[in-house]
Amino acid sequence: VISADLPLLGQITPGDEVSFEAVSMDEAIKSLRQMEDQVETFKRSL
Amino acid sequence: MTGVNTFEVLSPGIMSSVQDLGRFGYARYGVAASGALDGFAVRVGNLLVGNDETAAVVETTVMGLRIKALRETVVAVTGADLQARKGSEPLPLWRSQRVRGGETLVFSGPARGLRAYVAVAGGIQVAAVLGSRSTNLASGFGGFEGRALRKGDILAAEPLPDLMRYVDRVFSPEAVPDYSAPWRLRIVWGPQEDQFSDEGRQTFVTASRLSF
Repeated sequence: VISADLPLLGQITPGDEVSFEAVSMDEAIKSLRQMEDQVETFKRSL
Repeated sequence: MTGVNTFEVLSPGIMSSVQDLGRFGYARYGVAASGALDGFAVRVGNLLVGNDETAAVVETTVMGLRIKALRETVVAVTGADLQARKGSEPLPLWRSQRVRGGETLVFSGPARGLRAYVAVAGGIQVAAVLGSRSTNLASGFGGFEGRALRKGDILAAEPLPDLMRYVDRVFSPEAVPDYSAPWRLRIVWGPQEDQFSDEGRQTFVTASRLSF
Protein backbone atom coordinates (compact mmCIF):
# COMPACT_ATOMS: atom_id res chain seq x y z
CA VAL A 1 0.00 0.00 0.00
CA ILE A 2 1.43 3.38 -0.98
CA SER A 3 2.54 5.75 1.79
CA ALA A 4 -0.15 8.30 0.98
CA ASP A 5 -2.86 5.69 1.66
CA LEU A 6 -1.32 4.20 4.83
CA PRO A 7 -3.31 6.53 7.11
CA LEU A 8 -6.51 4.97 5.73
CA LEU A 9 -5.30 1.43 6.34
CA GLY A 10 -5.62 1.90 10.10
CA GLN A 11 -9.20 3.10 9.76
CA ILE A 12 -10.74 0.12 7.98
CA THR A 13 -13.43 -1.52 10.07
CA PRO A 14 -13.81 -5.32 10.13
CA GLY A 15 -16.38 -6.32 7.50
CA ASP A 16 -15.76 -3.28 5.28
CA GLU A 17 -15.34 -3.76 1.56
CA VAL A 18 -11.77 -3.10 0.38
CA SER A 19 -10.17 -3.20 -3.03
CA PHE A 20 -6.66 -2.51 -4.31
CA GLU A 21 -5.60 -0.44 -7.27
CA ALA A 22 -2.12 -0.89 -8.72
CA VAL A 23 -0.34 2.40 -9.48
CA SER A 24 3.13 3.27 -10.73
CA MET A 25 5.95 4.26 -8.39
CA ASP A 26 5.79 7.77 -9.91
CA GLU A 27 2.16 8.12 -9.01
CA ALA A 28 2.83 6.80 -5.50
CA ILE A 29 5.55 9.43 -4.98
CA LYS A 30 3.35 12.15 -6.44
CA SER A 31 0.53 11.23 -4.06
CA LEU A 32 2.87 11.36 -1.07
CA ARG A 33 4.13 14.79 -2.17
CA GLN A 34 0.54 15.99 -2.47
CA MET A 35 -0.16 14.86 1.09
CA GLU A 36 2.98 16.60 2.35
CA ASP A 37 2.01 19.77 0.47
CA GLN A 38 -1.43 19.64 2.04
CA VAL A 39 0.06 19.51 5.55
CA GLU A 40 2.57 22.27 4.70
CA THR A 41 -0.13 24.52 3.25
CA PHE A 42 -2.27 24.01 6.32
CA LYS A 43 0.67 24.75 8.62
CA ARG A 44 1.40 28.01 6.80
CA SER A 45 -2.27 29.02 6.94
CA LEU A 46 -2.34 28.98 10.74
CA MET B 1 9.70 15.91 30.75
CA THR B 2 7.92 19.00 32.00
CA GLY B 3 4.19 18.69 32.16
CA VAL B 4 1.16 19.81 34.08
CA ASN B 5 -1.55 17.28 34.88
CA THR B 6 -4.17 17.86 32.21
CA PHE B 7 -6.41 14.80 31.81
CA GLU B 8 -7.44 11.91 33.99
CA VAL B 9 -8.42 8.67 32.27
CA LEU B 10 -11.87 7.69 33.58
CA SER B 11 -12.03 4.76 31.16
CA PRO B 12 -9.54 3.74 28.46
CA GLY B 13 -12.27 2.14 26.35
CA ILE B 14 -11.36 -0.79 24.16
CA MET B 15 -7.81 0.35 23.54
CA SER B 16 -6.08 3.69 24.04
CA SER B 17 -2.40 4.53 24.08
CA VAL B 18 0.03 7.42 23.79
CA GLN B 19 1.54 7.61 20.31
CA ASP B 20 3.45 9.98 18.09
CA LEU B 21 4.54 9.54 14.48
CA GLY B 22 6.76 6.56 15.32
CA ARG B 23 10.20 5.37 16.32
CA PHE B 24 12.29 5.26 13.19
CA GLY B 25 15.86 4.17 12.60
CA TYR B 26 16.07 1.21 14.96
CA ALA B 27 14.60 -1.59 12.86
CA ARG B 28 18.10 -3.04 12.42
CA TYR B 29 18.13 -3.63 16.19
CA GLY B 30 14.70 -5.23 16.04
CA VAL B 31 12.85 -2.18 17.35
CA ALA B 32 9.51 -1.69 15.62
CA ALA B 33 8.40 1.76 14.49
CA SER B 34 5.18 1.72 16.55
CA GLY B 35 3.45 5.08 16.29
CA ALA B 36 -0.02 6.16 15.31
CA LEU B 37 -1.58 4.24 12.45
CA ASP B 38 -3.11 7.39 11.01
CA GLY B 39 -0.17 9.78 10.97
CA PHE B 40 -2.03 12.33 8.88
CA ALA B 41 -4.69 12.74 11.57
CA VAL B 42 -1.99 13.13 14.23
CA ARG B 43 -0.12 15.80 12.30
CA VAL B 44 -3.22 17.86 11.61
CA GLY B 45 -4.50 17.47 15.18
CA ASN B 46 -1.22 18.69 16.61
CA LEU B 47 -1.07 21.68 14.27
CA LEU B 48 -4.63 22.65 15.22
CA VAL B 49 -3.72 22.94 18.91
CA GLY B 50 -0.46 24.78 18.31
CA ASN B 51 1.90 21.82 18.73
CA ASP B 52 4.73 20.62 16.60
CA GLU B 53 3.19 18.00 14.31
CA THR B 54 5.33 15.29 15.92
CA ALA B 55 3.97 15.78 19.46
CA ALA B 56 2.48 12.82 21.32
CA VAL B 57 -1.29 12.32 21.29
CA VAL B 58 -3.78 9.76 22.58
CA GLU B 59 -4.81 7.16 20.00
CA THR B 60 -8.12 5.50 20.83
CA THR B 61 -9.73 2.60 19.03
CA VAL B 62 -13.44 1.94 18.45
CA MET B 63 -15.11 3.17 21.61
CA GLY B 64 -15.25 3.79 25.29
CA LEU B 65 -12.50 6.32 26.03
CA ARG B 66 -13.53 8.81 28.70
CA ILE B 67 -11.10 11.47 29.90
CA LYS B 68 -11.68 14.33 32.34
CA ALA B 69 -9.86 17.64 32.04
CA LEU B 70 -7.99 18.62 35.20
CA ARG B 71 -7.42 22.18 33.99
CA GLU B 72 -8.44 24.41 31.11
CA THR B 73 -6.85 23.29 27.87
CA VAL B 74 -7.31 23.11 24.10
CA VAL B 75 -7.82 19.83 22.25
CA ALA B 76 -8.47 18.68 18.71
CA VAL B 77 -10.00 15.31 17.86
CA THR B 78 -9.08 13.99 14.42
CA GLY B 79 -9.17 10.67 12.60
CA ALA B 80 -12.20 8.42 12.89
CA ASP B 81 -15.63 9.68 13.85
CA LEU B 82 -16.13 7.84 17.14
CA GLN B 83 -19.01 10.14 18.09
CA ALA B 84 -16.95 12.20 20.49
CA ARG B 85 -18.79 14.40 22.95
CA LYS B 86 -17.72 17.06 25.40
CA GLY B 87 -20.10 16.51 28.27
CA SER B 88 -23.42 16.12 26.48
CA GLU B 89 -22.62 18.15 23.35
CA PRO B 90 -21.17 16.63 20.18
CA LEU B 91 -17.52 17.54 19.70
CA PRO B 92 -16.74 18.73 16.17
CA LEU B 93 -13.83 16.87 14.62
CA TRP B 94 -10.79 18.42 12.93
CA ARG B 95 -11.30 21.64 14.90
CA SER B 96 -9.57 22.87 18.05
CA GLN B 97 -11.78 23.23 21.09
CA ARG B 98 -11.53 24.81 24.47
CA VAL B 99 -12.05 22.34 27.31
CA ARG B 100 -12.57 23.61 30.83
CA GLY B 101 -11.32 21.89 33.96
CA GLY B 102 -13.86 19.27 35.03
CA GLU B 103 -15.28 18.72 31.54
CA THR B 104 -15.26 15.17 30.19
CA LEU B 105 -14.57 13.93 26.67
CA VAL B 106 -16.41 10.72 25.78
CA PHE B 107 -16.08 8.51 22.69
CA SER B 108 -19.24 6.48 22.39
CA GLY B 109 -18.65 4.41 19.26
CA PRO B 110 -17.61 4.35 15.63
CA ALA B 111 -19.65 6.10 12.97
CA ARG B 112 -16.83 6.12 10.41
CA GLY B 113 -13.32 4.77 10.75
CA LEU B 114 -11.75 2.99 13.69
CA ARG B 115 -9.15 5.18 15.38
CA ALA B 116 -9.47 8.71 16.72
CA TYR B 117 -6.72 10.97 17.97
CA VAL B 118 -6.84 13.45 20.80
CA ALA B 119 -4.21 16.15 20.40
CA VAL B 120 -3.73 18.31 23.48
CA ALA B 121 -2.11 21.76 23.46
CA GLY B 122 1.45 21.34 24.71
CA GLY B 123 1.56 17.65 23.71
CA ILE B 124 1.20 14.62 25.96
CA GLN B 125 4.35 14.62 28.06
CA VAL B 126 5.96 11.22 28.46
CA ALA B 127 9.67 10.44 28.24
CA ALA B 128 11.01 9.92 24.74
CA VAL B 129 12.61 6.48 24.30
CA LEU B 130 14.93 6.08 21.30
CA GLY B 131 13.67 9.40 20.00
CA SER B 132 9.93 8.72 20.20
CA ARG B 133 7.06 9.00 22.66
CA SER B 134 5.15 6.15 21.01
CA THR B 135 4.06 3.17 23.05
CA ASN B 136 5.53 -0.11 21.84
CA LEU B 137 2.78 -2.33 23.21
CA ALA B 138 4.32 -5.63 22.13
CA SER B 139 7.64 -4.91 23.87
CA GLY B 140 6.24 -2.84 26.71
CA PHE B 141 8.23 0.38 26.51
CA GLY B 142 7.76 3.97 25.46
CA GLY B 143 4.61 6.05 25.74
CA PHE B 144 2.82 5.91 29.07
CA GLU B 145 4.77 3.35 31.13
CA GLY B 146 5.09 1.13 28.05
CA ARG B 147 1.46 0.08 28.16
CA ALA B 148 -2.07 0.91 27.08
CA LEU B 149 -3.85 3.53 29.17
CA ARG B 150 -5.82 2.46 32.22
CA LYS B 151 -8.45 3.99 34.43
CA GLY B 152 -6.84 6.46 36.81
CA ASP B 153 -3.84 7.35 34.62
CA ILE B 154 -2.99 11.05 34.65
CA LEU B 155 -1.84 12.60 31.37
CA ALA B 156 0.38 15.65 31.55
CA ALA B 157 0.85 18.30 28.89
CA GLU B 158 3.32 21.13 28.62
CA PRO B 159 1.63 24.39 29.66
CA LEU B 160 1.43 26.83 26.75
CA PRO B 161 1.09 30.59 27.26
CA ASP B 162 -1.93 32.32 25.78
CA LEU B 163 -3.78 29.07 25.14
CA MET B 164 -6.97 30.64 23.84
CA ARG B 165 -5.35 31.75 20.61
CA TYR B 166 -5.43 28.09 19.55
CA VAL B 167 -9.21 27.73 19.98
CA ASP B 168 -11.54 27.21 17.01
CA ARG B 169 -8.93 26.58 14.39
CA VAL B 170 -10.40 24.46 11.62
CA PHE B 171 -8.97 22.00 9.13
CA SER B 172 -10.94 22.44 5.93
CA PRO B 173 -13.67 19.77 5.67
CA GLU B 174 -12.88 19.14 1.98
CA ALA B 175 -9.37 18.14 2.99
CA VAL B 176 -10.49 15.63 5.61
CA PRO B 177 -9.92 12.04 4.41
CA ASP B 178 -12.99 10.02 3.52
CA TYR B 179 -13.13 7.30 6.15
CA SER B 180 -16.04 5.36 4.71
CA ALA B 181 -16.27 2.01 2.95
CA PRO B 182 -15.87 0.81 0.26
CA TRP B 183 -12.16 1.48 0.63
CA ARG B 184 -9.91 1.73 -2.37
CA LEU B 185 -6.22 1.49 -1.45
CA ARG B 186 -3.50 2.14 -3.97
CA ILE B 187 -0.59 -0.27 -4.12
CA VAL B 188 2.68 -0.65 -5.96
CA TRP B 189 3.87 -4.11 -6.88
CA GLY B 190 6.74 -5.41 -4.76
CA PRO B 191 10.09 -6.81 -5.89
CA GLN B 192 8.60 -10.32 -6.04
CA GLU B 193 5.97 -9.23 -8.56
CA ASP B 194 7.14 -11.74 -11.17
CA GLN B 195 6.67 -14.61 -8.70
CA PHE B 196 2.93 -14.21 -9.04
CA SER B 197 0.87 -15.31 -12.02
CA ASP B 198 -0.92 -12.75 -14.20
CA GLU B 199 -4.15 -14.26 -13.00
CA GLY B 200 -3.12 -13.93 -9.35
CA ARG B 201 -2.24 -10.28 -9.76
CA GLN B 202 -5.45 -9.68 -11.63
CA THR B 203 -7.44 -11.24 -8.80
CA PHE B 204 -5.63 -9.03 -6.29
CA VAL B 205 -6.70 -5.81 -8.00
CA THR B 206 -10.24 -6.88 -8.85
CA ALA B 207 -11.36 -8.66 -5.67
CA SER B 208 -13.26 -6.51 -3.24
CA ARG B 209 -13.41 -8.12 0.15
CA LEU B 210 -11.00 -8.41 2.98
CA SER B 211 -11.43 -10.76 5.89
CA PHE B 212 -9.84 -10.06 9.22
